[in-house]
Amino acid sequence: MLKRSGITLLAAAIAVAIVVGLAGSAFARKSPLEGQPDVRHKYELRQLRFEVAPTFEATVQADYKHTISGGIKLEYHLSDSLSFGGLIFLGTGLNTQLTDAVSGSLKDTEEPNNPTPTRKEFEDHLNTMPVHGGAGVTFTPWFGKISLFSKLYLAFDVYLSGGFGFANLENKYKNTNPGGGPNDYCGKQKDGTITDANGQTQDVFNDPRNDCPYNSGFQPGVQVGAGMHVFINKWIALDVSFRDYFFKDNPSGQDFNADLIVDDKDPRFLGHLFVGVGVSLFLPARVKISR
Amino acid sequence: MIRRANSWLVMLAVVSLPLMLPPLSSDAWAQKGKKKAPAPAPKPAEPAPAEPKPAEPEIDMTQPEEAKPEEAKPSDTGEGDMGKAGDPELDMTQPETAAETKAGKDEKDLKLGETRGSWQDIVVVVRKPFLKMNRLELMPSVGLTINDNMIQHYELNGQINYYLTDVLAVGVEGQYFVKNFLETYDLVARQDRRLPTINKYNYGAALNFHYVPIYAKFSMLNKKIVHLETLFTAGVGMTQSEVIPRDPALPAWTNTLITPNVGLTFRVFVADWVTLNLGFKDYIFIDKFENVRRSEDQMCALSVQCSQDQASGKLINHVMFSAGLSFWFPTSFRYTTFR
Repeated sequence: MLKRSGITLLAAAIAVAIVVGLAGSAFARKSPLEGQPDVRHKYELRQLRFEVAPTFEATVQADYKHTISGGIKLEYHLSDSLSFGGLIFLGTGLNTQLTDAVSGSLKDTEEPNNPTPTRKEFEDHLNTMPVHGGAGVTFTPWFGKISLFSKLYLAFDVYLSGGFGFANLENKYKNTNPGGGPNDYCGKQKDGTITDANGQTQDVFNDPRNDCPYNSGFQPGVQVGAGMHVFINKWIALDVSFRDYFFKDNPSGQDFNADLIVDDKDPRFLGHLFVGVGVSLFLPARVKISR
Repeated sequence: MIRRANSWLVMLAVVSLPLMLPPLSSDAWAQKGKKKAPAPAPKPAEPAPAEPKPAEPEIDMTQPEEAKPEEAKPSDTGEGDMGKAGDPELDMTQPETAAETKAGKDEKDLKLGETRGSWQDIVVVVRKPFLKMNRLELMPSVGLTINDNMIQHYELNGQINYYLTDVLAVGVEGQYFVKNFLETYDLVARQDRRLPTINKYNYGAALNFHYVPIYAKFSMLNKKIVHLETLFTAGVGMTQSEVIPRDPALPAWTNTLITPNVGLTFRVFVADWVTLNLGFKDYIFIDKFENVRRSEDQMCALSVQCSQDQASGKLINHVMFSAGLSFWFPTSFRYTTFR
């Protein structure tokens, strides 16, 4: 009898343990932070603030001419994640190593039965980008903090932007075809002929080396970019960005499609990648703090 | 009989007690046998008369009477030790003040069986979610040349790194390259009648050291927190380059070049054993190029040795962008310090 009651009690103990174990899930602790914002008391470093960013931009992996430019970027931040604005840069062109190497190997005068351009023809056909810019929307989905050597803590954000882009291109080419004045421009050669002083019509599209480059003027397009702000304090940030400007261009100004004519069929939709470094000033200087 | 019934009751309590306790986090295992240092009791919140009630749910600071530690029997093994009865840190009830209303206090009381929260869920400084010390990293990646407008290389890269500490690692790297001529290579030949002098790369290897000085976390639209770090790399190795003769009839040759490298990699933690890596690395070497006047001396041009002797050297910075995944072994880790 004692044995039976002992077994019964043991079974009861096991049953209670199972029941309590199942009910124990009701005691599972639910985090009180569930459903709450990930960051509390966040400094709203961008919300309803105006950003002025003097910036330096330079091309990356340009073929013939590097563009070194300075300018300004203006943004208005509607929220901590969304802003709109514009940017404009003024710059100058520098020869790449490829341009120097090719130019240094070319002769100053044309050779008979040799289609190689002269040094002047080669250099005059290259274009530069004295003005470029754009306007668009910027989206800032990521913001956070970085720790440097566990000593310095800085806020940062990562943004993506895109919109309308443009560039104003220039070259040094001057039409020197016979019959044409020194100030003739490319538009006068579109039909492929020119009338000389004697009234004779000449076909000028017989040598691509002296054709108009068709790579100057205002070029509309698009621009896309990504960058990062690293906040030094609540209203000053270091801005590093990559931005690609896409528009129709023919950087060499020479016959691209091998039809022995340089015309408006040779420019194609190309990307011009820039890296930019600037200082962003956020105004007003005071910043809101979230809940 | 009564004595035996009592012993059964004790056994019942012993068996049931661990099941009634909340689940233990892995770090608590490391605490086994250690006593918690007594912490000062939390200060009561200052009363705020006539303050409107906030919309978000409040954190409940009180514990139901059934779960008061002084009523629980102590465990024999010490596992899941919640502390001794009367520990100040476990006294979660707020002293009543004149400003506290009874209605507000009743609102905070939770019934048994409902979910509850406590300060133990919230820590001021959250632990790093990823530990690397004494772990092996396998890092396959693909890369692309970003600073050459004539010839571009696609790279298949594999690295094996061992982390001596959480910030310092040593490893080896192997690369295989596939070349790709860009638009300018054809244009210079066709438009300007000039043949570029170019080398291609075949493979490389290096011994590297990695240091992680930067740790960061960011929030994606204030919904999810992602942790990342930045590591710097420096190393030395070798690269095999191969001359691409301007005249295809002439023989090519290969160069074995000592190649120091420096790099920067961003790592995002995806899981306990997987991370996503994006990086830039500069491979620096003095490459040997075909002499621009090689074709003028046909006898020498046809001899690889003679052509190599006349080759011109040039400092090259081969900058590559790479993206890849890292797989970590062992696949899990454990903190051995207090939370």
